[in-house]
Amino acid sequence: PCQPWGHRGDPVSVGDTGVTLSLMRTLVTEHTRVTLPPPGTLADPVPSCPQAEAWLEEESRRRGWARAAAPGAARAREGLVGVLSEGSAAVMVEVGCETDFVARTPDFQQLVEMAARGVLGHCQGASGTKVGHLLREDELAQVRAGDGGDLLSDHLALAMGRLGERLALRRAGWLRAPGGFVATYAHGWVPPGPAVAMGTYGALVACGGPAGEPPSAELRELGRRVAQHVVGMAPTSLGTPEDELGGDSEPRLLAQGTLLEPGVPLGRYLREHGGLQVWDFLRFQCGEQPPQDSPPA
Amino acid sequence: MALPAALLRRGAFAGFRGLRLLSSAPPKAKAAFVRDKPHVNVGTIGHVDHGKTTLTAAITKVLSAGGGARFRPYEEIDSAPEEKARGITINAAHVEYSTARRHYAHTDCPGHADYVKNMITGTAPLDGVILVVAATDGQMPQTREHLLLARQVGVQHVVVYLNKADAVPDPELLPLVELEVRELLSEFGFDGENTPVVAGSALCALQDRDPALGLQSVLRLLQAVDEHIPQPPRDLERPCLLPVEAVHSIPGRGTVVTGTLERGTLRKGDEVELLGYGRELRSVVTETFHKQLEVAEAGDNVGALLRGLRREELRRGMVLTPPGALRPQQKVQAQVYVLTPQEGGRHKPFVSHFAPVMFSHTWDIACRVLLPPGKELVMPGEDAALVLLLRQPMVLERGQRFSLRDGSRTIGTGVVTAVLPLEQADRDVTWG
Repeated sequence: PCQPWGHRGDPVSVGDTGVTLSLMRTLVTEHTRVTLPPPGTLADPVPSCPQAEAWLEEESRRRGWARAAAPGAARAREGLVGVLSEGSAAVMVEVGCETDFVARTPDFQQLVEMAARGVLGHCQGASGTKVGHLLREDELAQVRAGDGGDLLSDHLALAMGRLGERLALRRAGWLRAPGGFVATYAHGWVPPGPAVAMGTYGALVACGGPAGEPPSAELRELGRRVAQHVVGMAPTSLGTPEDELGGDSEPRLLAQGTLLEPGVPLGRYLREHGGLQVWDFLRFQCGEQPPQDSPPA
Repeated sequence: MALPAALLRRGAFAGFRGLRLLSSAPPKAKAAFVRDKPHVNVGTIGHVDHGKTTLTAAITKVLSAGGGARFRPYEEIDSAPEEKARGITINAAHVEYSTARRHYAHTDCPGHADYVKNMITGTAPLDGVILVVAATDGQMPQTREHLLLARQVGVQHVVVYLNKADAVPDPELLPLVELEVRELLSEFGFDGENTPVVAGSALCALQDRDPALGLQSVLRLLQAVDEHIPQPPRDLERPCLLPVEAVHSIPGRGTVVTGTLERGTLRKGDEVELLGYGRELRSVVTETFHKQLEVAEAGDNVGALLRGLRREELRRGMVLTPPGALRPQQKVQAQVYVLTPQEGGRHKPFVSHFAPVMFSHTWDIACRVLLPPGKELVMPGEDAALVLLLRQPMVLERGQRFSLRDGSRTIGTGVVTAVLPLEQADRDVTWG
């Protein structure tokens, strides 16, 4: 008999088909848009589970592609930004969907995580000394999920088939900070925990200690605060540590009033709190238009 | 017979709103609107794709047969236009219909964020909700989130519709899902045991097939809504509440406070209490001034001459109420929506200890925002559960709406979800 591949809840037998409630639940949740066989046909010889799953996956992929190609599909404006750091580099990806309901599904969040890991591998494999780089939608689609894995665009199509919505790998970017570290911050409703932090906003800040020594825990916390400031205050350029305090619409990061101490410009605040140097930053806001298409300054 | 003014007021507003959406009736339609049935506000809640909008469409279809509604197709409800409620953009569809016993205004929101905003801004506070659960899925994450929020904003009555009963492979599944939903309701503090649960298929009702699962189920649901969601207590039956708009001194007579009576009735000789700004004063109404009537009722503009109080002791924003009916509060838990710059809010986020001015009834007072642990920012366009500490105790109750302003702009709007006791640390806060 067919064994459920997702054990959730008590296995409650439904009729004499041997199909449990948890199995039905799993099927419906994981393959929402795939039409279930009509009642009654379940008693027919049931193919083995791996076969059935393979069929469902193929069906999902086919429908996903069809959906992506459908003209006039609503633009994906909701979604999540995923942030992942390793060593002295960090990456950020934005994956879009049509409704905030879908962004809350584990399937969607797995896709974000996969994309972030894929981009991290891509970033580590990239040669050159460039400290920052942005990937457009078409470049991102060609990135592979993990070592020798499938293309991210394939995973995207699969997820579209499952979730029944148009999704988009909208953009990605990375920062490297040789001799320093990249502070990260993700803001939103996703509870913290997983390695890939997620939210509706994300920020990367490449920074270093005053004398190039390995950053202390205090400096790292300060870096995280700067990344948080970047999310909250949305600067568009860096400025210099000597900048005077700007007004309410000041675009230069180091001239903006510090988020937690609005009367002090960030540049001076950092000088007075251990001398953290900010080299570069990157900020993503989910669904923002138009997306930045030039590499960070 | 004294007309229930408050009821008329409610009905007129909701009715006007519906009219405006159905046709583009000019504002004068408000005055001509007559209602002969009690009015109740309801809404659909539940997980994405469980059939909230299909059910809403099906209800109008079923009732349109008897003239109780105009049929609103799914597409029309689903593509609800953006509307501005108190300056906030919400996608919500408002549908009106009548059963034999009542008139309903029904709200259906397409997105999760819209649903949250609608609950918080509370332009039409819900007297009860219809929880839609697809029998094929059972409870899902937003089923829980919506129930929790409904609970927080003070919704007490739920009727459950187990949708997609036609797609369930085995009818034996239905009792299981029903059991699960009842447990969930109890978990959130609703009456899970006695909540009506109706199984059916909104799609069947919409497509005129399988009347037992379709048409009949919608009729059973409406009957359950009629019977289970009680009429909201009329404002007249509640203790008097008069937010003071102005204080006057009448030479030779004494001090008069004026305002619009929000609830209850007020008459000469009533013992009252004046609360707010840390003051709690007792007095007796020695005379009322309004429209030459004996009793002032909710909705009336009224003036009250107060015995033994000096003008200097009173000020706008205090609340006149019977002794012991309300308590001033200095610390509350609230659900707040932060306006985006497009909605007139700020670009900057809320951080802990941010100090805006809080407005509610006729009062305003400095307050301090305390974010929950683990939450460091609330960005414009987001909502959050947070604590507000007021500079002085003011009249605040669970379910009360307020707005937050910074300078001249409204930056947030919210609803009180609980009142909290003041702790020592709160007393030590300096207000600068």
